[in-house]
Amino acid sequence: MSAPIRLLHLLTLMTIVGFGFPHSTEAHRLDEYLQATRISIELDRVGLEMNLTPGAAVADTVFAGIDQDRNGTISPVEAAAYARLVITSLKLSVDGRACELKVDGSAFPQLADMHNGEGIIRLRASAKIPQSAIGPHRLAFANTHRSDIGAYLINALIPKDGRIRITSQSRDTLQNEFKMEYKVNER
Amino acid sequence: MKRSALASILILLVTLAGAIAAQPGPAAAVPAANAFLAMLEPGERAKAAFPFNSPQKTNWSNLPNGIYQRNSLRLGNLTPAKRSAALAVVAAVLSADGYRKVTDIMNGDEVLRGAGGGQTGGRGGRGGVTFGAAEYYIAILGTPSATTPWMVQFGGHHLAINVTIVGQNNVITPSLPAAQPAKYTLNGQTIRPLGKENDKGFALIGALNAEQRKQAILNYRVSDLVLGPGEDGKTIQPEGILATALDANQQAMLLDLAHEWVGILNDEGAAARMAEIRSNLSRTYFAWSGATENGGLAYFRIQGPTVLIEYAPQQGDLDHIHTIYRDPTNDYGARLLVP
Repeated sequence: MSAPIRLLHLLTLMTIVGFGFPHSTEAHRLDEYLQATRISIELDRVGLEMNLTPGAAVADTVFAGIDQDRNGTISPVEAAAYARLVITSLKLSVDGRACELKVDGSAFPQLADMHNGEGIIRLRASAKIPQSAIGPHRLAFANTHRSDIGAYLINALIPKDGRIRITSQSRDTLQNEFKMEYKVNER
Repeated sequence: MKRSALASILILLVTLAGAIAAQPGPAAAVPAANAFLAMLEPGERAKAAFPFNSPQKTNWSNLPNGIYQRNSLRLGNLTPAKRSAALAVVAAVLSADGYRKVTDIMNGDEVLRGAGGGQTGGRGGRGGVTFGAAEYYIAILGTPSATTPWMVQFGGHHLAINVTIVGQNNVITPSLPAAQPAKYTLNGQTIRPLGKENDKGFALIGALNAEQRKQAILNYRVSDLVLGPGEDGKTIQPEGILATALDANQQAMLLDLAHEWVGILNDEGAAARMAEIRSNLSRTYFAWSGATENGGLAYFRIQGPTVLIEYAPQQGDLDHIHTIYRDPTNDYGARLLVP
């Protein structure tokens, strides 16, 4: 940065007389429950990473659904139960066959962070699928968890296995539903 | 004017005065960083200096203090002279426009603080959420050097700057410039920290013909960043229109839009990164979701082999914008570190 430009910036700020204030004073997600899913496809497995972020205005209702004993904290049992609940709201199929998802891991934020609308629940899940043959395949995924307040993101990660190439993706308007076609090539 | 507001303004004045003394470019950043570190007391230095491969490298967020724990050195805890030296380091690794963007974002957070932002946060006995120009943190990872790798990390609410320097090469990925408010007045002037990003994005979508728009515009809502903080090392399947389906003028607009993020870095570094993006245009996509008239709500993404840029208004709020700039091959200087 040249000295004249910095000096100009400085001189401008030296004449500060005040700030104009915005209308909004909240910095965080409010009345939506953001649910971001990333899908990874392998020859014999589908992996899901989910970040679930309840907005400040809906945090209490989401938290109440997790904190079953109402003691203000999330126990490992409650965390596992909520992870299973989320999984039951998901539908995954490959080549038209429904896939059974299992929870691989989860991490829950502090209650205070959820109240602020920035606490992120992180879930990992996966499903084993029959070894994919060479040729075209299709995957379908749907998330209906808390559809009353949900806002959704669904994205496919570029496959790490170079034999797999995603050829098309489609979603519904709200990103509840996701479809993907991919092709398995010879090594 | 409240005393706290005066103090905050003083912070800005002093820090910018310090920035004047800095010289541009990664080489000039070495003496600036050494001068800053030399001013610190042992306790301050312990918070400012980290090994290059420390976990601190990925310890950044868009979130404000009170929600996110930053372990580096807080500007508000420093004397004016030390704050000035800290900002001089930041200025040395950035371009003039980049440094102005950083100060615009910080000033915006001061506006947010003045408007009472954060007063409702922080329940549960963990203390309140804090906003303002004092709530930004600096860390130096590694030993400032003209030859060996080191890093400048600076950020706070709505800002994460990660500059990795290896000799004369340097990168600013991943970085997160964001803004709330997206527009405010300062000294009678309207400030829009990410205004050019917004306007150039709308100009580009406006320049596409109907057939191009069909390819560029996603048919679904995107309500947040896909690869925001904490999502290092991931690459999503690209979508949208391929840059080779754009004409020369539209391609130039796309590159100019990308430069709003790349150009936060000092001019030398930005030129190298832009050359890479330009050389990969045949594999670069532009995707859009939302309104196509400026003033509406829209998300957009630029994605290529060495660039991922996302621009995402938050929850339908035009006054609250998050963005991210990543290089899938070179976040934290990964490619520069290969022998």
